Amino acid sequence: MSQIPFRHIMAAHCESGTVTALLNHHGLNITEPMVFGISSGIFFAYLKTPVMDFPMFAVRSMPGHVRTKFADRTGVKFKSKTYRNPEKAEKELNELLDRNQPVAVQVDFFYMNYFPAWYRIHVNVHFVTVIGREGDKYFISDSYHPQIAEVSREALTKGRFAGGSMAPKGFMFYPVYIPEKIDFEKAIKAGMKGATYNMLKIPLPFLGVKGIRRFANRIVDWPKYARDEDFLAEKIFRITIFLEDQGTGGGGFRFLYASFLQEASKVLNNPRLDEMSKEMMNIGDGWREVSLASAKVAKQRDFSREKLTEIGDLLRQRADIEESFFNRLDKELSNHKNNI
Amino acid sequence: MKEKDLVIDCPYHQVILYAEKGDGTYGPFQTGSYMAGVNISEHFRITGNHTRALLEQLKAGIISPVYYFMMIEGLTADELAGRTGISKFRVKKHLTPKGFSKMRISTMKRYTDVLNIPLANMFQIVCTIEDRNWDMGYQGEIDNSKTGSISQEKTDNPLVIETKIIQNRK
Repeated sequence: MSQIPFRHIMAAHCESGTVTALLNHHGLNITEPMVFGISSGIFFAYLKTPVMDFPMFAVRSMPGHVRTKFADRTGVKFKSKTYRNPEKAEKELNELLDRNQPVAVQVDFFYMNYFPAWYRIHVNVHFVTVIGREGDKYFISDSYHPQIAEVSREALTKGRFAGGSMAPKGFMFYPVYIPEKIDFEKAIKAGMKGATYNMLKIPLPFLGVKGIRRFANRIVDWPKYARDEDFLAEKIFRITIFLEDQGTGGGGFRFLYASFLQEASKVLNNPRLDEMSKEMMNIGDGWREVSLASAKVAKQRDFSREKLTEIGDLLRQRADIEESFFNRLDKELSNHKNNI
Repeated sequence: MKEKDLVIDCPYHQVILYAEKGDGTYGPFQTGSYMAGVNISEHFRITGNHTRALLEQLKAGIISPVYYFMMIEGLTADELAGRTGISKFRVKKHLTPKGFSKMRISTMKRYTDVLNIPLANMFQIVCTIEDRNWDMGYQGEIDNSKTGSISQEKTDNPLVIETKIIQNRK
């Protein structure tokens, strides 16, 4: 066989992009921001555990949550499976492809060698859709790649069975049931509720708005974890990459979330949400300021406490503004409920 | 952010960003990557410096090849342990030249499978073009129109030699 006819689209983020493309393929007309918003993808976490050499942060929910939360809230059902045996995983993937079923798989990004070597890093939570095979190669729709790509059987297997943290274990999924009528109003509100909970109410000091504040307070300590100046410059520049480049849609997913709110305002017929989408766009602009300040510090190699405090202050502003925003979104949801 | 304010000219690395369109709606648009468009030369400079420093340490017998490749691939000892199935305690031993010298070939194979290099490269630094210290796993194409010769030299590390493929200038 060769390629299954599949509309390849680039997306901001690999998981929401993969879920969106698969749902579009099966006839559900939905956008990436809607998938991201319904699944409460927006988030913040600042992490530094004893086994971590260097602190890290995340601006989105846990890998896998986009699919599971979206399914819970819309009634869409996905068949998902992990494997111990690579041969069995490959055989079942091939059988599905032979039945014209595109299949999303979790891989170590490093093995997706249609990207240039300098860009590929070991991250076990990349999602791509396999849309066909021919001889010893597979056709891949990857949200980060402009065209349909090809990857060898060996590379795909290595990517699907890389070990280490969050090992894919051959994980794959595809939709098996899409309800004829989805209650989008309910799903959108549940998604917003989930986002406000994630950002405001998780009782852990490194998650949500509290996580942004922790990041703001701890960034001045980063030099003590770095082995040299080059290393520190690279890590500080990674703030920019994580916020702008690495599948966020810019502004640390805040621009994507603003797009969701704009769409949601139409579905819920609530103009107040349209105003809030503009606010969220401005919040994203503020995150972009954090990105640019970090890139500047990294480039100029000025790692003084003063400069890092400046980035910390920008982060603290983000925390305050997001706390206010999500509190108001929470109230808006309560008001909307009362008005129905 | 308006779409026009996010445009980066970088045709070889494209990304999707969300921004405000001309009509006030928000949506996706394709543009160049900020990282690739603005910072790639700095990234190459930093990684190049890091690789060269590691090579010197390897040649001097200060670090083991496992440590070298682990760093090149951006892995940590914990991550390498998880990927090879070798205990963290043993991985940490193998990161030192002493621990490396006592390693079995079968164990080494588990590392090379994860680190994506031939087993032979655990014992040699391959320099593919004269005067350019490419990293050991470099597998770029060699210009076959030029004749070349291969030489091998000892380093201060008794377990590692330097293999040089020298292209003759025409």
